[in-house]
Amino acid sequence: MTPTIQFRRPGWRSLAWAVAIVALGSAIGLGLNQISSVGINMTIALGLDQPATPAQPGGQP
Amino acid sequence: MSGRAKLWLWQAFRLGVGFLFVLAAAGKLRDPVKFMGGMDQYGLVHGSILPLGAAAIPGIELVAGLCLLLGWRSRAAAGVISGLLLLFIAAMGAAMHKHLELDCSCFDLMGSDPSAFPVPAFLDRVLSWLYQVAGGAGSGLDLGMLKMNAILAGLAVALFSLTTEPSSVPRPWFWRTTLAKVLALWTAFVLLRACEPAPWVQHGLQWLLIVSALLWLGLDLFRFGWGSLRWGLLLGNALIIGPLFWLMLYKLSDGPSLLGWGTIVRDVAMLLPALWLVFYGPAEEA
Repeated sequence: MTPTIQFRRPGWRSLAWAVAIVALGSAIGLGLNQISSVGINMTIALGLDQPATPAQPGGQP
Repeated sequence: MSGRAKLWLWQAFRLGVGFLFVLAAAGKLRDPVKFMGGMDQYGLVHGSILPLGAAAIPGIELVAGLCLLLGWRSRAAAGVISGLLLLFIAAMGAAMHKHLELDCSCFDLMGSDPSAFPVPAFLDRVLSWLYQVAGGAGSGLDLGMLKMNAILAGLAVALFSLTTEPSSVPRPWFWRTTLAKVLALWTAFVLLRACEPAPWVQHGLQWLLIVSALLWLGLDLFRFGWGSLRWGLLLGNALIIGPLFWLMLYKLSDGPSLLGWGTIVRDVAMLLPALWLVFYGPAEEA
C-alpha cells in the first residue's frame, strides 16, 4: 500500500502559541541579560545614558 | 511510512532539533556581548534593535528548544524555530554574497577553543590525567575533544538509563555498541589529527566517517526495526552521531563556526525537520 502523509495546515491556535513563545523567550532573554554580570549594558547600548537634548554651547544655564 | 514509524521520526526530529537549539542558546547566553558583536558583523541590524535582538534571540531559542524537548506546544515551537532558521540562512547567504569572512556566531559553547568545553572538576582531573598518561600533546590527542566526547557519552548513557522502557532491545548490546562507537570515532579523530594528511585525504576520511555513522544508525534500525527503537537508544545514537556531524561541519566550514557552506547546510538540515514538524506533526501534538 502506498504510504500517505497528510498535510495539516497549522491553525490560528498554533500561530497564537508561536507568538506567545516568542514573547516569553524575549522576556526571558532580556531578563537573563539584565541579571547577568556579563550581559549587555542596555543603558549604554541603547544610549539611555546620554541626555535627550544635548546642551547648546553658549545657551542659557 | 507507517504511523508508528512516522511517530518515531517525529520524536527523533523533535528531540534532535530541540537539543541543538538549547545548546545554541546556552552558548549565546554565556556571552551575550560577543553574540551582539557577531550580529553586528553581518551589518544587517543597526540601532537599538541590535542589543535588544542579541538579548532576546537566545531566550527565544531556549524556550522554543525546551518546548520541543518537553513535547509541549511542539508545532508552535517548530514554527518559531523554522522562522529563526530562515532568518539565519538569509543573513548568512547575504554575508556570503558580500564575501564577508566572519564567525557565524551560531554555536559558541566552546568558542574557538574546544578545551574550554565545560566539564565537572573531578572528571576534568581524571581526563587530564588520562591525557598525560597517553603522552600529552605529543601523542596527537586533543584534550578538548576528549572532554567533549566523555561528556556526550556520559549524557547518552544517563539518558538511556532514565528514559528506556522495558524493551526488546537488550541492554548489553547497547553498552557494547555505544562503547565501540565512541572508541572507533575517537580513534578515527585522533588518527586524523595526528597524521595531518594531505587535504584531499583529510576530506576523504571525513566523508568516510559520515558515511560510517549513517551506516551504523541504518544497521541499528535494520536490526531492531522502528518499533523496537526506544527513546534512550535513539538519543544515545543521536548524541554520539550528532556531534560527529557537527565536527564534520566545523571542518567543512574551515574552522570553528566560521561562516561557510557548512554552516548553511547545517541550518537547512535543521530547517527541513522543523518544517516537517510544523506541517505533518501527529494530531495529539496540535
